[in-house]
Amino acid sequence: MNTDVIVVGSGFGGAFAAERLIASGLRVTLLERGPWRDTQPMRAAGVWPRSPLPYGRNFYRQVLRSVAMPGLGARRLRTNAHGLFDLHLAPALSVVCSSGVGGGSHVYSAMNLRPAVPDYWAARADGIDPERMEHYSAAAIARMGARPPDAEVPNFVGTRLRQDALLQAEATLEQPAMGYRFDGGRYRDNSFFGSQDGSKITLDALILAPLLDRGLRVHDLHEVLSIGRGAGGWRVSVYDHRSRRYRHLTAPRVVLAAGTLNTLRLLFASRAQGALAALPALGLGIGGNGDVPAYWRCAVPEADFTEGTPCHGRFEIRGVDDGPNLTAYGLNGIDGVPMPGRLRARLKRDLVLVGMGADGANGIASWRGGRLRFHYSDSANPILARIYRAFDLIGHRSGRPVHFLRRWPLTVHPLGGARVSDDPLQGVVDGRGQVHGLPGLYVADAAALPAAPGAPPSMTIAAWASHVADGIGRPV
Amino acid sequence: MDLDMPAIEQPPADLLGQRQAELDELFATLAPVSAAQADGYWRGTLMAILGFGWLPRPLARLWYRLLRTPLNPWRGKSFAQGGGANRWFGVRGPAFGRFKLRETHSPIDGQPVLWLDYDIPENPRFLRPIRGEARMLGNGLVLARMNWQTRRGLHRVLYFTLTPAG
Ligand SMILES: Cc1cc2nc3c(=O)[nH]c(=O)nc-3n(C[C@H](O)[C@H](O)[C@H](O)COP(=O)(O)OP(=O)(O)OC[C@H]3O[C@@H](n4cnc5c(N)ncnc54)[C@H](O)[C@@H]3O)c2cc1C
Repeated sequence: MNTDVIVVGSGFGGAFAAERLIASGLRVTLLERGPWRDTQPMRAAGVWPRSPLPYGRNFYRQVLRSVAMPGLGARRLRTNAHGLFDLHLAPALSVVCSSGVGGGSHVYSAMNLRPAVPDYWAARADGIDPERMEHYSAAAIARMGARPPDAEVPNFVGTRLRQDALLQAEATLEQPAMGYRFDGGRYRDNSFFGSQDGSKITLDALILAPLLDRGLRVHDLHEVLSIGRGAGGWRVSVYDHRSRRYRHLTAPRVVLAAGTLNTLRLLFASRAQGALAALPALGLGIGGNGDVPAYWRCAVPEADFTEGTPCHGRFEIRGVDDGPNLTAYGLNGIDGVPMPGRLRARLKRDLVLVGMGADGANGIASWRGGRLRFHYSDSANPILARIYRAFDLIGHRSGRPVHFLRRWPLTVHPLGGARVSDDPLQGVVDGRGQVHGLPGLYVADAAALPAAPGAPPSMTIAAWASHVADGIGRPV
Repeated sequence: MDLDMPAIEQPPADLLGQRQAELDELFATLAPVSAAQADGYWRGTLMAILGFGWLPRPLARLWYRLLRTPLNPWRGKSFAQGGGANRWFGVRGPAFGRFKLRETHSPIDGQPVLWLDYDIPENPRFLRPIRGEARMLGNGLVLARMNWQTRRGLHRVLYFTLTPAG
């Protein structure tokens, strides 16, 4: 195969890396385990074949791709290679991520932010210039066309909470910029289960489909199983779910961007086959970005919280100074979930709340019996307890229950495990994203992040991927 | 072998389900094993045996796992001083089916390979047409194939992996 770089995964890491690699004139092949999604922008782009997002009668068949949980051993339960969500359930840390060309951009809540931690990139490793990283972040946010919602957007907290006795979202509280088509977009069915009409801006439509005309080769439904050094550089072993056969590709350089969970699975599995190096720091620095999701049975009469942008915005509890970062969401997308009408009507009046903040990214991932395990302690990450207390307070003051999994951390923002550091005993990749001791192998996704950004991480990942790709395109 | 790395006990499960054509593609991507690297005793696992390509993958995996048990008397190979032998009933068990080694290019894909030539006088006549090829899949994991030489050319018979026997 004539390719200069193989990119594994097409989320924020993979798509932003691919775009810069193509711009440097390199021949790039992108391997993605999920399918292209059937959305209006993809139909318009003429990409074929496509798989439906979970909606209506397709919902239950398309919603789940795979589940890993204790008791299943090394085997993951794979329900459907075209499914959307990949769940890793475990008492120490559960993770939700997704599958399909465009990666997490289909299911995410469209918040495009810089790290909340000040000087996030300062003194991380040689070759990382914080000013340059700020430039990459700004470029990524601009690329997504992101901006905060206007006051007229349905259910936007800045408007809705003006008279609220319990919560507030004053103009001084910075609202997240969102990658959303505010002009002409619909404010429904655009969140966790994808956005069929393209109201939410996703990476397949924004970056990947246009790159096909510039030479990017995308192999969808190609699941990478292992990587290793081969005769001509790197070997990538793949299962092609469409033709149901194994393929073995080679390239001088491989960029891993399969998302934290799956990049770690690939690195661990390949190391266990003796195909990499010892990588003593593999698995160090796991974090969940302090995520605590909760379900608030607020049952606001006449409300329809499923309308609006995927995230309604950031809010605070009145009278609480310096509280954690809290955001609100409706169960946006449940119109496409087959369920009794009365239940749906009830769910539309409730909210999902998410608290997050910089945790210590002090967990460890390990590999035993062919299975990825996380060791992550909520007591070692006091941000979680702060968020638990905030939710308890909301529940107490509102008289409406806030349900969340106390002491069972669940994150949609997993990061670390192949983190960046100059010291191979502390980190897996160097300041250029190249795996220590393995020239030509790079990590361009959230697994390489050196710490929790404390804010939704997609743009931090995009910035890192841009930096890694520019380094490959313009070698020192 | 890199001693910092964990020892490999079993070949990766997904190899056992692969067809000959798929393993040919994999084999073509690999770097060769040198005769010096091969020195020692190796535990063998068979896969992609000619005539069993029709087995559905899960059954193929099961079948080749079964062939790793004592039901199959072939246990692996030993290599020393430019030659080697197959080992039966135990990794250090009786040797039968000897070969000489040569670092050369594969006549099949033209890439460097460790060549196992069974055409030596110690072997009974029926073993002499066997030609083996070995390459490195990982640190301490060798992927090899057995071919059968006829007047019309080389025919693939099966693949196997070798892991150090400790
Ligand atoms: C419900 C939800 C809401 C979120 N909301 C926000 C938000 O508002 N803002 C924000 O910044 N972040 C949000 N996130 C997090 C964000 O989606 C992730 O941080 C981001 O997508 C991670 O980017 P990545 O490139 O590391 O991985 P991903 O985007 O997950 O991309 C990895 C890709 O690799 C593919 N892949 C995996 N394994 C393999 C393999 N073996 N072979 C080939 N391909 C493979 C996957 O299918 C996937 O497409 C949210 C996440 C979820 C689940």
